[in-house]
Amino acid sequence: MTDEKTIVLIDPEVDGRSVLADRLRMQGYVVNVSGNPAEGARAALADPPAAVIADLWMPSVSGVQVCRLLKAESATEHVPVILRGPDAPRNRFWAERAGASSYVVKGRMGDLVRALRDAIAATPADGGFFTTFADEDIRDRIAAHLDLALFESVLAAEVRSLSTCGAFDRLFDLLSQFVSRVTSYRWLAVSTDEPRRIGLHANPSSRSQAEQEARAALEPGDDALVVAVEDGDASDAAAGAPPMVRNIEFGGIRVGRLAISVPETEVAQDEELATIIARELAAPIRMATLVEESQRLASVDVLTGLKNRRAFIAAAEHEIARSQRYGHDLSLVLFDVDHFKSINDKLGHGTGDVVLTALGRNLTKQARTCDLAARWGGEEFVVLLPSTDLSGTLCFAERLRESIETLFIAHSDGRAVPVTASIGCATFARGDTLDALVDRADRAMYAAKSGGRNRVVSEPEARRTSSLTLSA
Amino acid sequence: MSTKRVLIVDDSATVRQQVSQALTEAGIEVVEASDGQIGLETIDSDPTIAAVICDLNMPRLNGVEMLAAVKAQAKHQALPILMLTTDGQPSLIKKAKDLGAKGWIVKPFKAPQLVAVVHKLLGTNGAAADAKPKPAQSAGAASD
Repeated sequence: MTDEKTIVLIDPEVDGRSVLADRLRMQGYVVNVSGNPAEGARAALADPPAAVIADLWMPSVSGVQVCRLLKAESATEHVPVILRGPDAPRNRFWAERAGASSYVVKGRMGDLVRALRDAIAATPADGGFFTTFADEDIRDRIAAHLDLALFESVLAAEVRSLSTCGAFDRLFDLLSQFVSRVTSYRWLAVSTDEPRRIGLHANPSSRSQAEQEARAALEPGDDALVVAVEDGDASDAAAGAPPMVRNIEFGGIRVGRLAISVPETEVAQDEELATIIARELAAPIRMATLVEESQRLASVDVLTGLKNRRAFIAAAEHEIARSQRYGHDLSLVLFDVDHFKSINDKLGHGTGDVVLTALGRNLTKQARTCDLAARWGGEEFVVLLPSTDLSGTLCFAERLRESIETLFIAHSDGRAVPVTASIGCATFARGDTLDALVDRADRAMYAAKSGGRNRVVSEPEARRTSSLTLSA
Repeated sequence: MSTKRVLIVDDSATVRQQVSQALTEAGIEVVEASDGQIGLETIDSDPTIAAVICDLNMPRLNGVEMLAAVKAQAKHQALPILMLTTDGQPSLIKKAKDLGAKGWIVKPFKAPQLVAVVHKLLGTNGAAADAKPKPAQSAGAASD
């Protein structure tokens, strides 16, 4: 073999192409001229040249179509394609998007020679793999590649549209519905790094095996929560090919991972699918995570880590509706730190904050998982206790009072800050609103204050005391 | 080695006969195998095999599997293997390229094109063969 570089030149204009071919031959190239775009593309595929030069506008098959075909075929993916046409930014843009190495304005011979030399110099060596098609197959081939490109672009747009979900659970649910229509898989899993969790779609009959395999593939950490979607849209095949795993990166930083387990026969065509989904999923995942985080921040009291008042009210309204529907008991505990103003005044606001933080932590520890604890405002805290009657609530409140009294809270000089709280309890009566319930607990709490602080008073008790006072 | 032979691996006797005829008429010697397993054994045992033309869908060992098995052996790295099939799936073509195939011909093939390709792979003079069918082999031998 010699060092001679072969160029395939596609130009439907007879005069134009012979002049151009001669000029290129003078530069030392071997020029294979074709007036028919499909024939030129076929020749390039059958014997990959050093470069292809084609006109942008040609009858029947455009230069952009030739370029896309050559870039999509294994035989010519590395072959630089130079497109020629009128001087228009839009043409240049479209040529570059089709994969052309450069776009040269027709008639500018010097530009063409330079572009050709640069493109060939930048081309890595290839093994000379070729593909031979019958002439008539070339147009079908162009149509097939275009269809595939369109499919991939629609797929990408569908995944990107998940950006509006705002929550990972919903995002994953919609993603699994969509992907299960595009390919048949045993399981689909998406993990996020922050917070650590996995969305898993599997067939109910093989869910635990799927979870095991997904955890092994994604390595999300042992503490990762699993959000599972189970239905028959996922195959119940016992075994498949090794799962395809892709990182999901947003702005160069990994935000999660994607894994799909497909049957052995599907692997080849789904490799690309997995890559596209993982690429397009980055923005939706990031968006959902940000929305969730901002919602969390909007519902959490930063100082104590408890729910804030707004979040408490929303959750409590829900709990009240449920208790009313099922006729369950429901009680509320409201407490206020005794002499908090004097702690702030004498020991400083810093110590006041330390006290509130310690009380928040203590309350989280004392409350059962189903209880709803929140910072009501200032130095007031609230706990809603589902399925708990008044005596159970008093029991809880007394335990809470004792835990606060014995809590060791250190002032900055190391001395203990003695803290107690006055606690009011009220239980839900049919037809009650949250406001009414809080109001009754509030009255009980004031009764505890006026009764000498550091004590628990229930609302019926407070009512008896006040009526006693009135009748006295 | 003066004899260079082309192995045709295809489970269809008709296709083997078509390919065989096209090459033989151009003065190229051929050997036939009716599936990938036999093809693999022939490549391993017959040192005169200088190029392989292989079908894709075959019983026992298919074309891609045979390609992988042949290219897994260091001594066959330079052996040119052509896939000849009606299938033109881009992912399969890519796989064949990555495994080390020399080319992929989508059927139906034209005899002169196939002959030209084989001559190129064997390093024999295709132009001489077209003019005088017989001396094709002597052209190959002369270059040794």
